[in-house]
Amino acid sequence: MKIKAKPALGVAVSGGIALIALAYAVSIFTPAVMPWVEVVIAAAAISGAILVFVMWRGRMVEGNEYAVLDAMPDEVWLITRHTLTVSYVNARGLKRTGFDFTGRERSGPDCAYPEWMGRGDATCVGTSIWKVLPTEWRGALHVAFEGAALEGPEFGGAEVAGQDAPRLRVLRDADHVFEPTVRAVRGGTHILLVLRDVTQELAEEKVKSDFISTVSHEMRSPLTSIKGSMGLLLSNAVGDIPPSARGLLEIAHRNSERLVLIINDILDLQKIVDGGMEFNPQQIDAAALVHEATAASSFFLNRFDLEIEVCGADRPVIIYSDPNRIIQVLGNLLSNAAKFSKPHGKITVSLVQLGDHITVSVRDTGVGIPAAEHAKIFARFADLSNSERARMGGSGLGLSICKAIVEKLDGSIGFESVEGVGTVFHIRLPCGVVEKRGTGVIEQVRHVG
Amino acid sequence: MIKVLHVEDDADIREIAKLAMELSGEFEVVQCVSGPDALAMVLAFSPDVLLLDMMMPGMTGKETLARIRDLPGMDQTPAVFMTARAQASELEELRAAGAVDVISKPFDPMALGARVKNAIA
Repeated sequence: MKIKAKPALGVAVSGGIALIALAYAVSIFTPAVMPWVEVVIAAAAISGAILVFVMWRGRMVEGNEYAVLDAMPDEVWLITRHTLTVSYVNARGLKRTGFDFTGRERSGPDCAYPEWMGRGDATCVGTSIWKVLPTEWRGALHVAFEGAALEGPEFGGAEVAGQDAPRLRVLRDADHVFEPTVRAVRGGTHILLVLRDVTQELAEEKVKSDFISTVSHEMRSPLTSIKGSMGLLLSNAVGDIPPSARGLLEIAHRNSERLVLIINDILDLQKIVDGGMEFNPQQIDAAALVHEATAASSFFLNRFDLEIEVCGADRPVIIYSDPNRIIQVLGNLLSNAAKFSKPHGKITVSLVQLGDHITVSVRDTGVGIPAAEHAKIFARFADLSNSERARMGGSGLGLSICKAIVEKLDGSIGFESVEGVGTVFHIRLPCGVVEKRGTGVIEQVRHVG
Repeated sequence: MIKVLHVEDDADIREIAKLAMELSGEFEVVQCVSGPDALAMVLAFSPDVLLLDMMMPGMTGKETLARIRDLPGMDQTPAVFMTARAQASELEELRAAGAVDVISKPFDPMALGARVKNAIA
């Protein structure tokens, strides 16, 4: 954009004309200097012509740039950083301001808008951004503007407008939902704000999310009948079953349990994606959680005849986080460790506090993960082949759910694995940073420990 | 004998639940297919415990319980809900509505009797 170039060109052309006029006046009154004056006039005329050409050319380029920006479906705002006034707005943003494209004010804010200005200036240039954007965005955008001013990078985060926001970092006005992007530009003197209207996109996501949720819930009723019937048959509630039939019934029962697991995981994942998963942060003892998760997984550990060792959980480690979600993640990691361990293997769970973070590690002495699989281990349904997953009784969604939950708690998850030797998964969680309930907003609540 | 009034619109689930509870010989189970059906027979049966499906067409389990509570002598009868929606807030909501216990679907039929028995303990 050549927003600053046009005034400079205007000054240069005006100066050139003034110089020619001055030289001509001097030549009239002082004939002795006439030859020099002619040279000066000629030079000034050539310079002026060049300047006019450059200006014309510049306006063409600028016109093309504006045409591109005006064709964008997004609102594009260039804001002067120190005064937070509008430097430029494209056609889509202009609609919000109450001005039309010919520069005549329709209604609305008291924007200065001289008609002689070019199209690029045909905005509320110089007006405070808060006169044209909803005032309720002020807090959220201020955070982003300050972030952009300090760090210069992409938009770092804003409050979510409304508890029902299914997506993070959106701003709402009366009818629409926008996804803002904020960047510092022009050497930090200006802020570029791009507002993308995601109203339709969110509505479509909600329809999809509702559909998944409804289908998953509707599947529970027939599953209740299938699983319940097989459970009663296997417990000889209606009489003895021949051994051959029992084997087949056990296969069906096991797979019905797997189907329940898949449905639960799909619902969990959907809840995380659309922001519907509940997080209830509280002050908790991470060491106690490690013991609780280990005890809850004793069924798996006994089933595979595994030894378990817990390290670093012999004293309280107080953090502020969601205990149920942490147990869900640890339970998943322990279940995986048990399923992929060799018989009579060992699982080690360790808890370490370092500064304002804790790290919980679950180490197994199992088959390990092939190096080629490392990159996709947290992808949905990507951890195993379908037949292998069926044998192990997994849904294929567990690790992606773990990752999503840990990230919602402002933590991180990773692993190291050597094929044939074993795998260790680490989850790193902050001691005092949690997600505000239901909003998806990460907030520093307090620092403990 | 513990008298259970079971309200459930799904016929297959009704059959499994009845079979599961009657296995122990400790329960007398009467079943209804809807909330209005339950309201019509609850006073005559005078159950020790109510076992209500949450999602039923017409009148939900929660609405059925609220209506039963208005009937004479029914304000203290323990209620257990069965639901396919097991989000923590929904469970809390059902407990707030007067449920002693909430059983998630699919449920373990062999443990159903114990859960219902616990509700009146």
